Parts: sequence; structure tokens; C-alpha cells
Amino acid sequence: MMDSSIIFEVKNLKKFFSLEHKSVLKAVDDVSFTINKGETLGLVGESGCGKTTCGRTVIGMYDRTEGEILYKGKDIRRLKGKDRKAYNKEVQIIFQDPYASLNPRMTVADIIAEGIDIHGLAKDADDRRNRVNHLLELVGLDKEHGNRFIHEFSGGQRQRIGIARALAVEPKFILCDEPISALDVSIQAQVANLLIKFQKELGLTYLFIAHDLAMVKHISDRVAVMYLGAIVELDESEDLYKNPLHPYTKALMSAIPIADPKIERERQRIMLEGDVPSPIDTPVGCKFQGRCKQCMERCRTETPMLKEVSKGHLVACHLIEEEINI
Amino acid sequence: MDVAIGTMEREEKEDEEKKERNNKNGFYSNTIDDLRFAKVVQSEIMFEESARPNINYWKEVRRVFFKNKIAVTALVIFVLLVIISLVGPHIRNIDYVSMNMSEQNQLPSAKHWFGTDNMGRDLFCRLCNAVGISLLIAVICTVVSIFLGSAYGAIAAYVGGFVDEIMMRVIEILNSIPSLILILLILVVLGNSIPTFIFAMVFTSWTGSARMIRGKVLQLRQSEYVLASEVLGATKRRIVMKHLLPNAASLIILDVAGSIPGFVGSEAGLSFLGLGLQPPAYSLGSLLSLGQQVMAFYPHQMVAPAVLLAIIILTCNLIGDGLRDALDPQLRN
Repeated sequence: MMDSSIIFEVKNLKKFFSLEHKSVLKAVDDVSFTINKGETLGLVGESGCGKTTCGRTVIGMYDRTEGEILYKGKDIRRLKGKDRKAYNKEVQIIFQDPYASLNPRMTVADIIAEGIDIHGLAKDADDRRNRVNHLLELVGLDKEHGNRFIHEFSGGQRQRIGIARALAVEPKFILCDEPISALDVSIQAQVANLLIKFQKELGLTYLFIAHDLAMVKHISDRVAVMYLGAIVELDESEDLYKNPLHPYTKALMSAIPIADPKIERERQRIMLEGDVPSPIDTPVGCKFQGRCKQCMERCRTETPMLKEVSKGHLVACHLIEEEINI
Repeated sequence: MDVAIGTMEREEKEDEEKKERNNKNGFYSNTIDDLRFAKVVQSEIMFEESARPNINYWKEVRRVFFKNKIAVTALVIFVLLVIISLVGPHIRNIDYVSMNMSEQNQLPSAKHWFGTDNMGRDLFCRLCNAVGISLLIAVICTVVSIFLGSAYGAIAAYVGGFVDEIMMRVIEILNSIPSLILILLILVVLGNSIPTFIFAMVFTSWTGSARMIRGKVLQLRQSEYVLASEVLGATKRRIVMKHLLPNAASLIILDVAGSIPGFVGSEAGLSFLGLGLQPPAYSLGSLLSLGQQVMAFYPHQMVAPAVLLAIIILTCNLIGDGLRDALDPQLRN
């Protein structure tokens, strides 16, 4: 019997893109995790590590290469007809770029009402207008804004319109695909707080993709760290930030600036050498082998699996495995 | 970050307090002198807020277009020209078809406004007909070539892959043959008549539209608002009708506005060279060619069609410019 508190269960998900000359880009390579109802799972990593592809494959925007994705216990690929429609209503996305994700030929009201129209949620034109006005108010916009086109709005306002569009169909789960990284720092807090507010009020579940570590800590219950298409560490956000185990996570955490000049001056940064290798034709073994100072023989031959080291804390590293003997 | 969040919350609280005060007492009633101020009822404020009507995209386009003085002037001149060319020959009650050797090469007069040609036919009536024929050919060519080109390009982009490859190679091969040679060959093989002439012009010009629409559809299909629509569960039909067509429509309209003067010009050019319409059929280009033969003695016979041709192409281009400004919301202030 499925645990009803789990919304998404992802097992050994792989998403490969075949390129010219028979080479393969492994954007997501063997990723497994679960998303519980009402929580925010943060997904962090460097640019190009496969965060967005992973998120989009999970909700079914991209067809997966291998693995299994269960939404409330059902394989999303097998959803047909009524189930498919319900799934489209319950799972929504907020995009990174508020300039590209809204149709410039539609009024704000039509953009927000798109889901309402598709799923026939409004009884009549009045109901539709009321719903749109309510959503506009919810995200802090004036209802008069509904008649305008999006080029009249600022980035933060557009992002809130994007959020209103996602909320219009009363979703259960929202994939937040770097929803704040394209915004000014002052607006980031505004939009992030709005997302937190809606989560509390509407009981939403988020998969929150970002590369801003401080923001992810602020918003997430649990955080997964991705490197080159694989999850290297997953833990409760407080714990992970206090006690990172994987060498990559350690380096990542040491890069967070601290808003206190005294401590900041003494902050020790772990500098990684080299660049992220190309995800095309990756070598066998640990993904992090080329840049890890504690790299061992075993790391070059055997891919480390994600293993639980303490309750809810998962790490994929041979070194940690050997240290605590699991 | 924490500071910013703190301020946000404080501001929210203050706003809420303000709202509460407003709801209870109207506007800050403790400071209002009742004799000098009338109370504003809440419902009236609401009415004012929603006073702006729901503006639809095309209404907005019309509004912006008609605010553009140059484009509107061009449109008025163009429409007048079309009306005159349609009505002109009928109200003059002159036989402009048969030859009249007693009235050869006359200068402009009350009877013959633009004079007569070397066969004694009224030039004004012939010009009117020529404008009509030139525009008709241009419009038919434009409609057919853009319709075919758009459909071809959209299919190539939508199906993609192998089909797209082949369809685009076909266009490249067609484009690599000089169009003048292609038109000549078609006219030689199929014979010279208005339909074959139109076919020849369309055959050499649809590829531009096809490429443009293919690029646009490829770009739009990848756009995040189409992805968002797919995530919402939109059908293909809805995506085409609500997202692809409206966003490509302005491009197609601009293509039409740009193609018409182009076809008028190339038809005139071909007819001037003697490749286009053959007598007794005539167009602005063939009148221009006839006028050019007697240019030294009767310059008005060449100037009249030349000026008309210039006016048609200029007004069409100006209308096109106005449309481009109106169709692109990013250009609006």
C-alpha cells in the first residue's frame, strides 16, 4: 500500500539526450527521491548540473529515458483521459524567466484564466472574472491590471502573474523552476515570501530548484544537492547546512557568504579545482572524482549509491561509507 | 535578506491597518471636516477602479494604427486610388478599347484627362484599368504565396526531423536558381497568360514566407508560455489558436503588407521588359513601357503610369510600417 503522505516518488530516473556522432548527454543520471505532501524539497547545484531537466522530467514535461515516476502511487506515463486531466490540474510549474513565460499577445486576465478555461472551472463569464480578480489580489496586484498586457509590468510583477496562473487551477504541487533567480534581490524576498505564504494557506507542495543556497535554506524543508546529473547528498535543510558530509556539499556550503564582516573575514573557503566536467560521455565511478581531494581508487571504478547515514540524511560517497562503516 | 523580509511584513501590517480604518470610517474620518468634504461611498471607488474597459489586442492595434498620421494618410490615398481605378472607366463614358486614329497622342484635355496614346485610346481609363489589374495580380500572388509558404513552413516546423530536413532542402534548391530565369522558363513552357504569370511569380517567391514562418513556429513551440500551456493540459488546437497563431499573425500581416508592393513592383518590372502581360492585356508596367517609347515627344504618357506606380508602392510601404508599429506591443509607449 502506498504511503499517502508521499506526492512524488522518483526511482532511478534517467534522462539522456542523444547528440550527433552517437554521443549521449546524461542530464539526469540515476536519481531517486521522494517528495512528501506539504513540504518543500530544495534542489541545488551549479548551472548545468541538470536541476531543471530533472524537475521537468519529474512532472512529465520531458519524456524520461529510464526509471519510474509515481504521482500519488500512479505512474505518470500511464495517466490517461480523466486521470491525465486531473494530473494536469494538480501539478503546475513556475518558470525562471518571467519575460519568456507569459504570452505577450494575451491580457493578464487571459493569461491567468488559461487554466480556468482549459479545465472549465468557471461557471460563466462573471465567475471567471471574479476568480481572476481574486487571484490578482492574492498575488498583490490590482484587479485593474487584468486588462493590461505583460509588457507594462516589471519582472517581479510578471513573476507574480506567473504564480497566479499556476494557482488558478488550485494545484497540489508546484515545480518552482528557479522562480526568483531572475529577479532583483529586493524582489526575491517578496516573491519567496509569497510562495511560503501560499504553501501555508493552500497546503501546497513544492519542488524548489535554485542555485541561491541562502534562499533555498530559507524556503526548503529538505534539500537535495545535485552534481553532474546525480544527487550527491539529501538532508533536512538545517542539518545539511550545519553538517554537510559530501566533499562537494562541503565546498558548496563554504561558498555561502556570511552577513557579518567579522565572521566573513575568517570564513575558510574550500576551493575546488577545475571546472564541472561535461555531462557528455561521463566516466565510470563517482561523478565528483576529478575534483575531489580525497578521491580513492574505489571512486574511479564504482559509482557510489545514495545511502542513509543518519535518519533522513542520505549521502553518495565511498569515503563517508567507509568512515562510518555502512 | 532577513531585514528585507522584516520590512515587508511591517509594511503589510500597516497596509492592513489602513484598510481596516478605511472600511470602518470611510477616509480617515477623525480628520475630516464634514462640512467641507462629502463621504465617498466604497462602491463608487470600486467603480472608478474598474472603469477601464477590457482592451483586446486587435482593438489596441487598431487604436495605435489610426493614431499614426502618416500611415492613415497613406491608407486614405491608397483607398481613394483603388476606388477611382474601379469607378473611373465607367463614369467617363469613353470608348477606350477600340483604336481611334483621329485622336492619336493627344495632350491632356477636358475630354481626355491624361491625353491619349498612339492608338488614340483614353489614357486615364487605361491607367485606371492598369492599376486594377496590377493590384489584382499582386493581391492574388501575395495571398497564394503567403498561404502556401506559411502552411509549408508551419508543417516543416511542427513535424520536424527528417521531413523538415527534406522540406528545407527543397527550398534551398529553389532559391539557388535565379528567379528571372525560372519565371522565363515557366512562361515559355506554359504559355503567357495572366494565370501562368501569377503561377510563375508565386513559384519563385513563396520560399521567403515559408522560411520565416518555420523559424517563428520553431521559436514559439519552444517558448515557455507554450510549455506552461502544455503543463496546464491545453490541447494542440488551443495552443495553435491561442499561442502560435496570434503570435505569428502579426508576422503574416507584415509579410502581406510587404509583399503587395513587392509584387506590384516586380510585375511592373517584368511587364516593362516585355516578359509580363502581352497585349491586348496591359498593366502599369506595360503602359510604362509604351510610354517610354514615345518619351521624347509625349513625356506625360510615361510620367503618368510612373507616378501612379510610385504612389502605390510608397503608400503600401507606409501602411506596412504603420502596421508594424501597431502590431508590436513592445514598440508602443
